[in-house]
Order: sequence, then C-alpha cells, then structure tokens
Amino acid sequence: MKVSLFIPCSVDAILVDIGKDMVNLMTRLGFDLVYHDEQTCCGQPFYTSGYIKEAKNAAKKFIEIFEHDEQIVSLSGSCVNMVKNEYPKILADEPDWLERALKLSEKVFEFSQFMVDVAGIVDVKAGFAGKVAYHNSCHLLRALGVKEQPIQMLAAVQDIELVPLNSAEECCGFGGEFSIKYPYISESIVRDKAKNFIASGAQVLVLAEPNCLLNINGYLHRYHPGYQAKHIVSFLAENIERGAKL
Amino acid sequence: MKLSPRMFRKVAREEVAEQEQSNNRVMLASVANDLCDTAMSYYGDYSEQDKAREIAGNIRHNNLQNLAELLEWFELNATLNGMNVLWAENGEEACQMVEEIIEEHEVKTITKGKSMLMEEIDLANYIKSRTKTTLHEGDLEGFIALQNDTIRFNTAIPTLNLDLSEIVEILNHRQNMPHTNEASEVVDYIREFLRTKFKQADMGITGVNFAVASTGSLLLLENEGNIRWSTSAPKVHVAIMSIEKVCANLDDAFYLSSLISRNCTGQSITTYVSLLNGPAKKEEKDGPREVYVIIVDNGRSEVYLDDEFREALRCIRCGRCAVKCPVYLRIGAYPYGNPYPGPSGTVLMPLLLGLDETKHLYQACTLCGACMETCPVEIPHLDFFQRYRQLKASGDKEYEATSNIWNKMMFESIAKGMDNNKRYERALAGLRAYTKNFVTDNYIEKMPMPLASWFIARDLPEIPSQSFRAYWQEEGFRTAKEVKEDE
Repeated sequence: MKVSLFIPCSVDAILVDIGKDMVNLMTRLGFDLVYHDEQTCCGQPFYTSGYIKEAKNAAKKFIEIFEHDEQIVSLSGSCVNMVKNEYPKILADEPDWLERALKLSEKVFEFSQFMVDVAGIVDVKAGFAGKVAYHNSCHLLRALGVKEQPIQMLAAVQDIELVPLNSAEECCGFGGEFSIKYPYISESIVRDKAKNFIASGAQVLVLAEPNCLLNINGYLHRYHPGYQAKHIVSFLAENIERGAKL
Repeated sequence: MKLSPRMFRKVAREEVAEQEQSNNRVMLASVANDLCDTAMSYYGDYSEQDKAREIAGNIRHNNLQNLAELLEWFELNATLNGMNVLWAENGEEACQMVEEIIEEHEVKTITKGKSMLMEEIDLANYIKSRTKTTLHEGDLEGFIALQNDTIRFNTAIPTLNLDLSEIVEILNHRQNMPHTNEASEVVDYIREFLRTKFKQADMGITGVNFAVASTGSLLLLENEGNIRWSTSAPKVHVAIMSIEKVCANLDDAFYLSSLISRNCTGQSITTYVSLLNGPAKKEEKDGPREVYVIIVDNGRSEVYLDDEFREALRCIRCGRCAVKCPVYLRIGAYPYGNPYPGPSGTVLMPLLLGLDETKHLYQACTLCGACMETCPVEIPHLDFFQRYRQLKASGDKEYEATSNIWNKMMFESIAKGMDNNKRYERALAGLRAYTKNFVTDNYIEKMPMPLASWFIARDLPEIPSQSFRAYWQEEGFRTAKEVKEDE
C-alpha cells in the first residue's frame, strides 16, 4: 500500500526521530512510502493567528503537492485537522480550490486513524512489559474524533498494562502562539498534565501529537527529568524488536 | 474593584499563582463536571446527549431568527398580563429607567437577585451613587463579593475562590458576624440577615432566564430563594433582560431550562422555578402590585445584523463551557474583566466592547475545543475566536480591531520562509546555527525574545544537525518527484 508522508514542521526540524520511527515502523509493516521534499508547512500557525492570506497560500501549495497521492498520513492530528477540516473553510470562497481541498480532505489521515481504520492494522507485534498511560490530544480527539484507535493499538502491545490518566482529555496547554503569549497560564496547565502522569504510575505517557510532546516533555525535562512522554509511533517502533523476541 | 479585559495578563498571572497554592478550583470544577455529566446522562448516551444539544441549539437558533417578532409578541402578552414593558437602547437608559421607577414608588430598600446583565450595565453602582435607596444583594455569592468589594466569581458555584475561613473573615470584618468554623452557621447568619431585608424591601430587582412570548411570562431559575423573595414580597418587581432572552413558548423555555440546570449545577431541575405572569390581581393578597420588564439592547441588535455573529446570542448562561475550559480553570473569573467570564463571554464580549479591548480573551485560548464540545446550545466558540483573530490580524474599523504591525511582520516573514522548501531549508539552517549558542546537553534552557517566554517553564530539545528531509536524502530514499520521473 502506497503512503505519502506528511511530515509536520516540528518533526522535520526538531523531533526528527519521530519521523524516522514512522519510516522504520511503516516500512517494516510493508508500506511503500513516498515523500515530497517540496512540503513545508500546512499553514496552521498562520491560520490560528488570523493570517488568512498566508494560510491560503500554504493551503494551495499543500494541495498542489499532495493532491495526486492516494493516501496521505501524518504524525499530527492537529496538522491533519488543518488540511482535512480547515482548508475547505478557508478556501470556501474559491470554488475550484474548494473542490480540490474537499477531494484531498478524504485522503488525509492521522497515523493511528490510518492504521486502524484504513489499513486494518491494530497489532504491530510490539511488546512492552510495563505501565503506559495515554493522553488524548485536543485536535485528534475533538476535531478528528480519533479516540479509540491509538488505545486499540496500545492495547494490542504484548504485556502492556494501560493505566488510566486523570483528566486525559484535558488540553496540555500548548496551543501554539498561546504558549509564548501566555506562558504562565500554559505552564499551569502543563504542570497538571505532568502531575496526573506521575500520579498515574505509568512509566511512559504515550500521545499522538508532536506539539503536545514538545510541550509536555519540555516541562518534564525541566522539573521531572526521570519522566518522559513518547509519540505512539516511537513507542511502537522502539518496542517492536522486543515484541518479536518475546 | 473595577476590572477590565485589558488587565488580563497581569490579573491572570496573580490568579495562576494563587490557584497553584491550593488547586481547589480545578478539583471543584472536576466535581461539578462529573455532576453535570451524570445529570446529562438522563438523555441517554453521548450520542443522545448530542441530540439534546442539537434540539436546544435549534430552539435558540430559531428564537434568534424570529427575534423581533418574538419580542413584540412577548410585549403584547406581557402587557395583557399587566406588566409594564420598557425598552432600553443601552445600559445608561436602563439604569435611568430603574431610577425613575425608584422615584415614582418612593422606594427605600431594594433586594436584588443575581443577574449578569445588571453587572454588564453596572446597575448596582448606579443605584448606589444616584439614589438614596439601600440595595441588598440577595444572592449568596453576590452578597459575599459585595462585602469583599470584588465582583462575583462564578456562574454557578458560589465563592469558588474563597475558603470558609476567608468568608468568615470578610463577614466578621464587615458585618460583625461572630467567628465560626461551621459553614452552616455562616449560611444561617446570612439567611437571617437577608430575610429581614427581603421582608422590608419595597422593590425587588431580578434578571430573567427566559421571557416566554406566547404567554407573556417570565421564567426564573435559582437555588437560594432570593429571587422568589424579591419577586413576591416587595410591592414592586423590576425584571431586567437583554433582548435575546425571549423564546417562543413554554415548551422551548422548559427544554432549555432543563439543559441549564443539568449543565450548571448538575440538577435535573433547580430548587426554585418561578414562572411569573404579571402583578397580583386585585383580589390577591400576595405578589407585587407593579411589575416592570426592562428589555435592554446594549449593542446586541448590531451584533444581530451579522448572520454568523448573531449566534453569539444563543448562550443560555449555564456556565458549563467555563468549567471545561483549561484556561478558565487556572485563572478563574477575574482576569476576564467582564460579567461573563469564560468561553461564552469570550464569544460575546468582543462584539460588545470591540476586538482591541478584548484581544486577550480570544487570544488566551488553546483552541482545544472543550467548550464547543460541551455547549448545550451548540455555540461554535472556535469559529468566533478564529474570526476575531482574523479581524485583529488584518485590522477592522467596524469591530475596533487594530492590526499589530510587529506580529504581522513576523508572521509574514515566517510565511515567506515556508513558501518554498529551499528557502525553508536555509531558514532552518540559520535557526540551527543561532540556537546552537544556547544548547547544553542536547537541550536549550533559555533563549532571548521572542521565544524567551517558552523557557519560563519548559526546555526545548536542540535542533538536530540532520532534518527529516536531510535524513530522507542521506538514507538514499527517493523523493516523490524522483519516483514519478522514473515512472
């Protein structure tokens, strides 16, 4: 199955390892990966800060690059939401572009959504003997309605013990420009997320959103260096070898 | 203490610090949330609850579509019921009307129920400064807030921000209430105090939950009894409402009421439900002799003109969005600087006060969507915030939005850098080289503006020497373009 990689800026620039993990995992599972190196940003930061012209340009460029692909998969529910749900809104006044946006919209998926709903893969044959908690990222949960898919994939990991996370559906406090403009409020929110993670007794906090990862791990690295959040793709990729041996 | 949304950042920072000491607010809100979830389960599972929200949203949408007709219909029926219906274009006019009623009936003491609209038009201060009348706040939270010279803090749960000892301290200082460690004694004290006032008052002022057009009635919901007192004991009752409070019939009003109580306090019905149909008839012993309904516009009919913004007027003030909002939970009501703290007010206030004045309200939002998900009348909060941000970014005179030139330049230049992958790669290389100066052990712990504030609470991993695109190339994987060329 052919899959086109939609790599969020934060993954391309900073969280490169998550991107590599996605390549390793999906190649191993037999997917034929393609990558457009013309891709840059989906335009979400411009859009959420109100710069609609810039967001439109980014959207059009993205559509041109990706519209001929069969399936487009990303590691970020937030970026997928931008392409899937917001592009048609911001291009609503340009009928030709709107049509192209709507066509593209049907072909874009977040990783776990794609694996479970499209490829039908729940069990990647990984193993992890330990406690894991899952954080529901906002756009993934509320904008894309992806709630069960990552949990199903985690539950299929051999020997894993999924533990509940208090306020798992509450925002981590990132919010893009919000985290820079209102750092004290943002800190207060992420602090509670970290607290709930630690109280859950989990060794790893798994999530499926690079930006939440930057935020939560940024906080944990400073105040609770022993604790770490992991992107689901990294968690699965890292434990797939162990799973094979188990 | 007069607060303004402009002071948002400063007040929010103080409130965050206080919240971190206790964590009470987050804990209590989660209790309130659970109660509301349980109360909503009356409708069935989540999809059934969604249907209830859709029905309620449609009721409100239809009410608003027919707003002018419903208001006239209400006026007609309320007048037939013997009420005096008055129309106020703005807050000042509404205050003057109340003043005239006070003079006409030689009112000496007033008791008042909780009303956000009265706070919006600052009626209590107007009465205090312009008349000799004594005004008693009948609502528990309002009563304590008044003694403390602050504003009301929460939509539903009284004095969420104060613990018992603080309340005792305030009442001891201002009212000479004896010291106690028992909450019930505090409540008894306030009840005794207020009862005498309710009995003596010659006028009661309340808000309105719904004005019912088909019957000309007023529907009021409460749990404390102060509204029942204020609307039945004094000889004059003044009800004050904003134009969007009207709904077509009793079915609409009760359906919506059920969603208010379930989403506000987690009750299937509030302790008191008052359906008022005008003054006491001649042969009746109890009830007010005169009832006035003041219908206040205060900028709303202008909001109404825009089809999308009109839906801001859907709100039925249950306050559920606030207890779901990660920002509100950390900062509480004060930073918002307006009578409608939390997401619902952030939908409405920018349209009433202008986008510059209220910029922090719609910018201090993570766009998590929890408000929108839970709203019982399906207000699309994020669409509003998105549109406000767009108007603010481009500048708009009508909505009093001034573009911030530095912010604009920054985003335009980032957009330009992202417009082309070669340019993006150069920019990334530049950023990598620059940030290298701040790296220790693979992490950045501090950086200058404009990123400085990120590092107040968080570190950032260094920018690796190899980007994803470089990795792809160096691994020898082919790009989509190359694959296509081969085919």
